[in-house]
Amino acid sequence: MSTRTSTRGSGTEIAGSTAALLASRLRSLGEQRSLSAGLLILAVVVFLALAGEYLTPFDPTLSVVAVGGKIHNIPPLLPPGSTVRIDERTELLFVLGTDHLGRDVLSRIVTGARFVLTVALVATAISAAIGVTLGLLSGYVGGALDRVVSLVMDSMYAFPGLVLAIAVAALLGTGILNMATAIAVVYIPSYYRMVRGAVLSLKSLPFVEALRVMGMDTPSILFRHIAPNALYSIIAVLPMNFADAVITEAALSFLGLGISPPTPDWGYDLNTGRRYFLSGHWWIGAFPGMMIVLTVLGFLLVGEGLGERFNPRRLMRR
Amino acid sequence: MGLRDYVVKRILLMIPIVFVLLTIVFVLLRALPGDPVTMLEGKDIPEEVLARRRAELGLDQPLHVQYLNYLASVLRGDLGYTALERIPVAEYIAMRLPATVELALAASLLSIMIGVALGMLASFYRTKTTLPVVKIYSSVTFAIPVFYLGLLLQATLGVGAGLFPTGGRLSALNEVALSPRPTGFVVVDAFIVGKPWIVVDFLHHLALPSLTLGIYLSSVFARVTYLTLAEVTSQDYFTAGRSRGLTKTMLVLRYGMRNAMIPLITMAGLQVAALLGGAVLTETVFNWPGIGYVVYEGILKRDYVLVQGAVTIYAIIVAVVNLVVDIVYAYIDPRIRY
Repeated sequence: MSTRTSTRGSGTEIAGSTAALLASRLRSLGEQRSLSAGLLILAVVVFLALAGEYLTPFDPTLSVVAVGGKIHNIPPLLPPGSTVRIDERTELLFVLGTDHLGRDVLSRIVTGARFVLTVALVATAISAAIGVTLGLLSGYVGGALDRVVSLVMDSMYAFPGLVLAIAVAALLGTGILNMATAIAVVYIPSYYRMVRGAVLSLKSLPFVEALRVMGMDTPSILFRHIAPNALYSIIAVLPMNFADAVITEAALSFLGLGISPPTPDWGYDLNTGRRYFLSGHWWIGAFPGMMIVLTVLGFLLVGEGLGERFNPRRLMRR
Repeated sequence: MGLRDYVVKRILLMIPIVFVLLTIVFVLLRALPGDPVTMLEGKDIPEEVLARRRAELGLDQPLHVQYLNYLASVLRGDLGYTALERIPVAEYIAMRLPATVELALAASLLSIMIGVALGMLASFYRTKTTLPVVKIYSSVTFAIPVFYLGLLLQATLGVGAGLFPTGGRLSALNEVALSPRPTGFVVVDAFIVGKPWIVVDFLHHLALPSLTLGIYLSSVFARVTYLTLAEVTSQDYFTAGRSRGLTKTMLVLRYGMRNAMIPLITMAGLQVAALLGGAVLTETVFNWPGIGYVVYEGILKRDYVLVQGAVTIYAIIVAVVNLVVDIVYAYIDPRIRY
């Protein structure tokens, strides 16, 4: 960030101006509706992912419920808002209905947040780590390395990402890390392109030349001085990557490449619900689908807000 | 360099691109940990059987030999055999290619129509609310997974309103009436066989899948059209045109859209990857018998050779489509010569 505080000012002055700066930042943060709306949505989804089973009225993986020391079967395919009378005192309410096995849909969509968010987080981390490293090296070193890596990255970028992810996921099998790897492969080129572009424009700036004249070695220049400036460019990409990762995770699960049942997962449940959708039992698939849309929308809004905030040049890029 | 030289150069450039794409496919499918044979046969099979199967597929060779074998067999057009029916994969996929082309063309056409119409409307009636409308539309259509959108359309327009069939490419009767297929493209075949009315049934089946994929892709076009037109209409020559008495409609259509063409075509080119990826999901939801459905079949039947073959074909399609887009681009914008 290019905020300059006077070096001559006393400590309290600096602290005061930083606080004022922070306050004004926060104020304009509040003004930015898309950013705050997105953050709000994400806060809810992350809370669901963390709290999970502690919130749900029923066990998301079981089609039975224990009431008064006795085990009762839950009827399958109950429409939203159904109630089931167990005895004189207890009546169970299934707000969003039950699925084909008699599991509570509400409990499943609440706990389903955890898996998809974990996969998306790991996938984003992997692709950012690899893409940024390659972009930094390729952009700074240049020459033959740059040409080869760029060619590979451009080819991957042109390839339909979902097909790549499917091929990798089909080979690696299920599980968080395997799915995350499959999804990560798709977005490496996006980071690579952003960071490489930033490095290319940064390395010709006078301050880099000055550092070199001062005798600083290449790794220090690259990682301590160029990297922090170049990384600025990916702030707006991260949420978009997250949004895409959520969609891709859902798509892989939908195609049967996701986690193994009975762990709740939106994409998987949507795939299950697909078979019941057209016979009128729409709620099994519709609610997990809505959660996917909501989560992706949250990330998009945050991405849009951050993009406007941190990178005003974004609109002028190419 | 003239257009012809550029085209020749661009076609020659396709060779290294295909080569790189095939290498990426190979690296992803073979060099990553994960054993296709175990995936294929299951974990409970005795080791001898697995070893035999591995030898059969050439997977016991060192990686560089496998790589050369892979390239050589792709050049020969040999993609192996399907696990169950023992049909050549290349033949199996070639049979499905026309359906994907039909869907892709229809969806692209619809997405551009929807997107451009929306972008034009929004910029034409420009008020404080139109930009948010375009933004919301493009965010929401981006956020809805294409398979969910497909299901929603199936449930509403398909089953609910009973307007369209929810799956397949033709009704069973017409499917029979049309075979054997001379070209594989329904529209062409229907005329060759002399039963042009089959086209109506085909379009009826095509409606929902192409609408699904079309809406999914339209958001980018809406955004680009709106932004370009917003820029153009604030130019001086636009004001000059207005002051000389040209109507706004005339200006937007004749001058605004002409400027919007180049970014739109660029976008169309960039959308190819999204189109092909989206087609896998759309074909799965609507049982549309294209290559995307082959991928899904490969996963369901755990047929690794089939998945690998389909991904290889995708690599070649991507290279060809990018070639076509680049040539069209160079034709439209004479400044483009690399």
